[in-house]
Amino acid sequence: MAATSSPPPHDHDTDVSQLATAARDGNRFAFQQLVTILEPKIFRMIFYRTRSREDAEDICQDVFLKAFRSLKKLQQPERIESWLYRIAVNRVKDYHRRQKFRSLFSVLNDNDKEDDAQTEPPGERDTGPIDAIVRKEFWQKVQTMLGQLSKMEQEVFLLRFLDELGIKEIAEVLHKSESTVKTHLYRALGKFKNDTAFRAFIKEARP
Amino acid sequence: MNADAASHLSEHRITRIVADDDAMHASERTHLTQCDSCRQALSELTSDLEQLRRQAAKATPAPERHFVLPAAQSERHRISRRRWGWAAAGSVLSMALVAIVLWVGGNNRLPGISPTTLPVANVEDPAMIKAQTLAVNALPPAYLALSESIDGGYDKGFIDFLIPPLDDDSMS
Repeated sequence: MAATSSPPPHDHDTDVSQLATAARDGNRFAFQQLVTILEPKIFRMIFYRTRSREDAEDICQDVFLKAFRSLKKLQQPERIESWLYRIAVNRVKDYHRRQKFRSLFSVLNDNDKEDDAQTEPPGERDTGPIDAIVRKEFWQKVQTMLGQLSKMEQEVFLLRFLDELGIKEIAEVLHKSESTVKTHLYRALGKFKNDTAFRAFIKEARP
Repeated sequence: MNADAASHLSEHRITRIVADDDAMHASERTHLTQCDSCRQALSELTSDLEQLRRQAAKATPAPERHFVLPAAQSERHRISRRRWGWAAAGSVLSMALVAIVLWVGGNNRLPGISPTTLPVANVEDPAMIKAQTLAVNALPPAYLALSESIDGGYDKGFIDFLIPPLDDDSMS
């Protein structure tokens, strides 16, 4: 029987790490490849926290720009993903801080909301109105569920189950110890587990 | 096959195992292979979380703007800036040259070359006479009086009294 030679398995982490090393050494093409690989993930991560396509795009640009400018400081290229998530988490915090500040001027804020509603619901440009309603309902339910969690529990829950980061990575991203991350994660998951209405909705929903 | 109910995994343990794969002990792993109830509780929670992740990803739009390396832009700008710099330097240099030529021409006229003069117009031409008259009396008499082209009849001594001339040192 002839042996079939299969290509070596494509290792995402190795690729990212090698590209990060090359990018740090000044290879612009490597950085652009890194962006191609990681941008969808980072964009999604930001969107989950902002629920606005345009804002997520802006923050995503900021994240990669910041990364590009500080690339020389990256000591462990294999941790670039955690580093990008960390930058993104901080940028999202800034975003929410600005939003809170804006909401102080309620009239302006209401106008903004009206403008947003009139121009474009997030990411619904190429989908039908029913899809838009379903998606909106989905995010409202997610928000209600997350509302039961503390800020830290929310962040840990999202990073673990929506962004699929490991506990060690989450600890790096949030600059917390692994045991702290676990504590918050167990609490958050316990609340999710007991939210039977949301779990039933998840089973039925089709965004 | 169902394991003893007393040894079922607690909700707390199931939560921990779902959150962190490393949290599962060998005894729990063995129990899960034997206990349908615990296995179902575990897989239900895992599947709900997986469903949530999938739906969240589906409910997320694709970005319409993608990141572009700023250095590529700045490279273009640098080239463009360099071009503008050369152009600016060239124009400054040529202006300086023109200024030098004019200054040298004005002060050190070369021997044998006289400044060009316009030919004197024929004053006997009636049209030219009319034009000169119009040029001299371009303003109405009232304005000419104000500008002292026509004597307004003011007494110079009176004016000097009202507005002393600057070289008057009578007050000193």
